[in-house]
Amino acid sequence: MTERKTDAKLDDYLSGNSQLSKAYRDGAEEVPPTQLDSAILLRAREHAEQIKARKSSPWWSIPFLHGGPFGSNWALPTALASIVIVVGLVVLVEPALDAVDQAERSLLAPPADITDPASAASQPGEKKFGRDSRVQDSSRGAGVPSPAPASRVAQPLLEPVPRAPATQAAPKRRTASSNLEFKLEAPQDAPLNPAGRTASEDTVQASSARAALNSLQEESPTDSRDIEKRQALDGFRKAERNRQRFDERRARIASERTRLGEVVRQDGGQNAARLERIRALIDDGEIRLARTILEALLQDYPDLRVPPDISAALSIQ
Amino acid sequence: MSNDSIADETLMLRFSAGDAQAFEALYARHKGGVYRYFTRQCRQAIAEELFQDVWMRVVTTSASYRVGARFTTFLYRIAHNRLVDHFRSVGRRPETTVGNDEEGLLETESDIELAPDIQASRQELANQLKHCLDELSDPQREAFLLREEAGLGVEEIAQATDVGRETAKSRLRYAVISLRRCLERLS
Repeated sequence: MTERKTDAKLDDYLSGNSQLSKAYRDGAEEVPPTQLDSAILLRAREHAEQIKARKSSPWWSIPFLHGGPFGSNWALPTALASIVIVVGLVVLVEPALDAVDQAERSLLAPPADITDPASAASQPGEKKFGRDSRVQDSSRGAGVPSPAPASRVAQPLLEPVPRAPATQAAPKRRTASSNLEFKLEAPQDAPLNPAGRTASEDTVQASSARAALNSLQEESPTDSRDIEKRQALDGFRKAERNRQRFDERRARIASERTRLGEVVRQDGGQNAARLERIRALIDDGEIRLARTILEALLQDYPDLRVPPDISAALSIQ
Repeated sequence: MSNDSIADETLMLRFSAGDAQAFEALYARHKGGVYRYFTRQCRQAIAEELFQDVWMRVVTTSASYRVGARFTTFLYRIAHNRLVDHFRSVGRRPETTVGNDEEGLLETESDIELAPDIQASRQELANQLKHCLDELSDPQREAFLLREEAGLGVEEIAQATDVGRETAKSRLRYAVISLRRCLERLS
């Protein structure tokens, strides 16, 4: 009850017309010294001038550049220099990367079993495809990577298709740059193919191969799609080659480690250095000296297991 | 258009856009209140220092000013924080209670309006009121000053002093009652 009455009086006071407020306002006459006013107003004017100057300043003097770690007069020159460096690096490095890529391609020639039939046919012991060949990749001359759709293209064409009639050799739908385009030709005088099939069987098979090829070409009617496929296949093939090389290297390293471990275990590591020395001599061409040392070593350690590479190099049984 | 009829918030936004005259108008409106807010709670020299700090802070934070409340709430919140920092730096601990005589005050059926028997002259009454203000606890005095100097309501006093509404209301209520009793005693 008392509190409610007090609240009512408080509300009355808050209305602003109480005698208490009037009494307070009568005595509220103090004001800050003029020096203080001047100092504060001067600082405010300076601040306002700074804001105006910032608004009218050019774009490169934006506040975050001035406030941040790069905030200085060097911001613009640094940015330009960075751009020049990046462009220069791109110009200089790109040709080098191309050269490396070309060298890698030449070194890592695709294995015949996953490339086009023409290269597959060039393997020793196999029938050569040339002017009188049965299958020829017309895209090779254009410098376009050969396709690797072994399951769809190379597979049926890897089958020997001799004695295909010349009249059926040229499918109607062909594009000059298509890597899927093959000429099917066969010498008329080939009696039997390596598989022992007759000419009629071969003709049927060649026709089916051609039909498969044509259907594949219909699936990719435009050059751009061919190029996209070719690029995808090329990338796949490259990755496959890299994987194979990696596996080979890993296997070789593992075998070398195993072999060295065996040698070291055999004689507590004492002969390992000698065998390495022998191997170094072999590498230097000092075959006779290497053989002499090895013979001496074998006399001391008849049970020594000579590593296969050393025995092969020194012709030791 | 004169700056006198423009709202505080608009003037502050203009100043944040680089209008120095807007700040001058703002300063003219509120310099006395802020100054007295400090002089009623600190010594003169300290009050001037705190007063200058508050306005410097208003200047430097003008770029980030957004209209979320009344400008006076914004201004006196800065003043309150600066005062609290000062109290902490000198080891003075602002009282957080409304006083030990709360119960007695609640039992008193005091009239918040000054009694008719207070016949002192207005100036004398004002002087007595200043003396009575010194007897208030820090939070009560601050609440009363925020009401009188800044014209803040209970809700805004709560915001400026970072307390709940009921706390602010209670402080203001007991400040008024204590001042009334003090004036009665002095007269």
